[in-house]
Amino acid sequence: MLKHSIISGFGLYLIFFNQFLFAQEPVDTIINIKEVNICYNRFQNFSSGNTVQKIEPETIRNFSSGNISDLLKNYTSLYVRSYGVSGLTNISVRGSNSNHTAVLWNGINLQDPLNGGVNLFLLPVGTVDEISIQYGGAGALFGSGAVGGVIMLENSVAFNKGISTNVSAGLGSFGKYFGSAGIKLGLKKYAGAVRFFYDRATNDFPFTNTQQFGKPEVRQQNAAYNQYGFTQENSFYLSRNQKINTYLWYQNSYREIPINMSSASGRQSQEDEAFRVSANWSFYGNVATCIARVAYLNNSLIYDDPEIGVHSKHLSYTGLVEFETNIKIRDNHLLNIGLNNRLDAGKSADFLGDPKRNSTALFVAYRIQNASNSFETNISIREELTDNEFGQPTPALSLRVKILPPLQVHGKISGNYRVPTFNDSYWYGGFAMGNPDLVPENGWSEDIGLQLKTGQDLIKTDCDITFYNSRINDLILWMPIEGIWMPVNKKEVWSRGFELSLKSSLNFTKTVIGFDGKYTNNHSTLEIKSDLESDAILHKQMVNTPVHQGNLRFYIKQKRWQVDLIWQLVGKRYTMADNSRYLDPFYLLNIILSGNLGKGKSNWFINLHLNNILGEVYQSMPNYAMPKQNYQLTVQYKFN
Amino acid sequence: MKNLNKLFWLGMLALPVIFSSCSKDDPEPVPKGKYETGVFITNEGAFGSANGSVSYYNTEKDSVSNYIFKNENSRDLGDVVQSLTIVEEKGFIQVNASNKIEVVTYKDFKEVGVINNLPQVRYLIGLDGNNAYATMWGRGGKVMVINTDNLSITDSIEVGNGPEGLILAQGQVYVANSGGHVTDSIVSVIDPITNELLKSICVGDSPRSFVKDADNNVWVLCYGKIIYDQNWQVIGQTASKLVRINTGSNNVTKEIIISETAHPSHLAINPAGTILYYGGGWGFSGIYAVGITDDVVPATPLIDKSFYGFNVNPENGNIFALEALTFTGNGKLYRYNKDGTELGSYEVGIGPNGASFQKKK
Repeated sequence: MLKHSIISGFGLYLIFFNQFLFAQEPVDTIINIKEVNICYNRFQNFSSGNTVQKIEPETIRNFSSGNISDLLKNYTSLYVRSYGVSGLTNISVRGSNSNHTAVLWNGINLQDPLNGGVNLFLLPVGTVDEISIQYGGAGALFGSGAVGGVIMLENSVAFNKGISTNVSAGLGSFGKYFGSAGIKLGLKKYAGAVRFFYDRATNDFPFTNTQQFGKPEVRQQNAAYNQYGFTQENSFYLSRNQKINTYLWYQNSYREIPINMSSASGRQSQEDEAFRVSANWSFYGNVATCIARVAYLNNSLIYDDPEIGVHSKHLSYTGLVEFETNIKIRDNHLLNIGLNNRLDAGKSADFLGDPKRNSTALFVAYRIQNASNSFETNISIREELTDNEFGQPTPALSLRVKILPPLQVHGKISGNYRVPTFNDSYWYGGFAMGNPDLVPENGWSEDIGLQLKTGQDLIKTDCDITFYNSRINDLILWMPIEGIWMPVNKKEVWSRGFELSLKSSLNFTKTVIGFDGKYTNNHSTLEIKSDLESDAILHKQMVNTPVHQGNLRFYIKQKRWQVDLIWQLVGKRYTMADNSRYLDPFYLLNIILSGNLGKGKSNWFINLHLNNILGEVYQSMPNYAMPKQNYQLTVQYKFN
Repeated sequence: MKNLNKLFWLGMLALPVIFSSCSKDDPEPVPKGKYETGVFITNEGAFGSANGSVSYYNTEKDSVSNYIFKNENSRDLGDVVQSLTIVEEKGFIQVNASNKIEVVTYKDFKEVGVINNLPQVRYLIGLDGNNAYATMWGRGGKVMVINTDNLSITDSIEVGNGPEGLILAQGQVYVANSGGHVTDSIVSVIDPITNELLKSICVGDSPRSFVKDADNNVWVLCYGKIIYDQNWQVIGQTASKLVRINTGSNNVTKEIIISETAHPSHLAINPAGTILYYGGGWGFSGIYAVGITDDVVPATPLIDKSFYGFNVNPENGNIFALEALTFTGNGKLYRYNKDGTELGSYEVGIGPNGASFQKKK
């Protein structure tokens, strides 16, 4: 966990309604293909068997003054676990662990080498232009960590659009203030963007503390944060068919770590600083495209608890070099071959030495489509060499077939894995010791889905149901062995269920009235346990993992105004491994109002979120309070 | 990662709960409360989840009830339940990571109050005059003086690093400075009337807990120290040992070396005050028995099993030993007689670390 984040020996240390679209769906024009960030070549070209959800640009704009977790909770079927409002926030896809979702930033996996996690709280929506989610494992394409799913964050710039600037300011409940400014420049051969943001909140929301003596009315303490950052992108055409892209992302985040409801006081805080830079060179030939990519990532985490005199620092460094090529073998046959080398290094007082990990992966994918694009199949395989040891080859096979014009079947079988984190391998001290002999967690996932798209201009309906089944073996469990805590490959978790998406809209001349519904059914049970654990936990639902989860959205859209009514539903979640205790289900009703007041080159955009308007008292993780009614107002001005 | 995060807590030790000496005869027999005739087991819970709990072993029924605080008060106790001490009619429950002491009437376990603002509170003993001392690691290591009547903090006493176990003997309070997050080797002696520090006794590395023997001497268990180099390789260790303090002179009068390489965390004594029991904690296997007049420790344990904590029933000498397992589910209580014969085993809450016995009326 950490849940969550890491901290030293005694420190501490995380639906829906959008259109499902298949990444290989034809993009409008050749020009557009070139302007699409081709980092996701593999994603765009070889993900046909998976359910892929691309977040609409309007939705990204609506959530641009917050972190990505709010957007995911309202628009996707990922389960988001929050240890309080400014606490560690992580994702679970299809019941998988928090370190089982790869988060790719322009193609670079941001999962921290120290703990394998990505804290969603540290991913502001405003720093990216595009967000897509792939449900299900994709080890062959994206390597370690892409077990439950993949979140893709992309920055894009546009050529020939001239100069545009935008400034936005927001405020919200509990001392929330937000500001950002950006400039985009699109010339014939150069396009670039730069943006800055600042975000803060005190988060001193009132609640009834049912875990304290006398059940007092209190305000949340120690949950303030402030963060700032900037991003910068450049894209140059070197020639008609060669382009260079560069990306930079710096961010500093200071946040107090919310105390749980059982404590009356606490002053823990964490400062995260990230510096990320990457560059790629692309070549577009008639037969082949090539992409070479380099990246450097640096994360620093400082945990501080003045009450007990703890101040610890954990650093990670990642360098990455990658080359891949897409070769058109003949019409409708595409071959992708790539080679990737990643060097991760960590530095922490809790590690034995300064650990490093060097991994090199070779991946190959082959796609066959028929001429009418009613049939497509992909086969892919990845082989990874980690510190001179070959891992098991990871294959995948996927299929998409249009049965009748409106009906399409998609399916996938994928091998998935996650290499042990540095904490798992190199931790030392505090009666705990990492285990360098761990093998990667590994398993298989299978998906089969049916998609139906019907309707003419007036009524459009889009329906998708995907059944999935997945097993993860050799899950790493920390357990006492002869008095020392050590991680071992021990557990097996079996996840199965289905994802249902139903979307329909009535399209009048000036008004669209629509409905989106999503439901995820997830049974994730422990099938193999350690000898030290009770038999009572076998075949039981994993903790903090709901069986039922859903979202329901109604919206009315006009040219300038839109109203969204979103109802989030999260079912019962067990808090004990033997399922003897649980958290109650919760239902949140949110309203989003947005309006565009612009004229000509100058655009005003107003966005108001009214969250939890029914005042539901709920917990995302046990004993961490969450706010009742709250709002957020953002005003954006854009000048072209 | 979360597993790692709690390791600090796991590394810490459960000490025997030590009772105050201020017993009073109770002339009037009153109807027995729901939890009046048994033994309380403190269960730390999984760090960060605030699911620490107290289990109750009913001596008459030979059975265990779990989550009794939650059952009686409809809320969880908090994060890392470290210890429980009965003072008069009240049960004081030290909740380490929630920085508080929850107070109940121990006979029915109904909440009566809370004392907040005690960072990393560890153990408590009751004293005369409605006073109690509680050790806490936070704010550099302090003994907090608590009014057991109105549940207020009335004073604090600077001691060493990581004050842990404490005991009242011969009108003086002995505090073991275990080192906490750093190192220490001192026992602080306090006058409970004036709250003044009387003496610092150097006993050995990482003193953790006390017992009082038949001769009114105090014994302290020193865990020893493990020395690492910058690459976290063990380059040296100091021995674990049992150290006897004469409560008249407050001098060390005897040492029994336990081991140069193994480090037990817990100390208890038989009802007669003649046999010391040590063992338990992470990295130490078994519970051993050694006489107070012996000079060397036995080669073989009395009970050959790894426990997170254990205590000895002061009435009959039975041993209550606790197995925390993986902290992901319930732990186990094992009962043994004084010879180490198992009398029964029971499921308790998550991460059990110690047993608290009610004072004989």
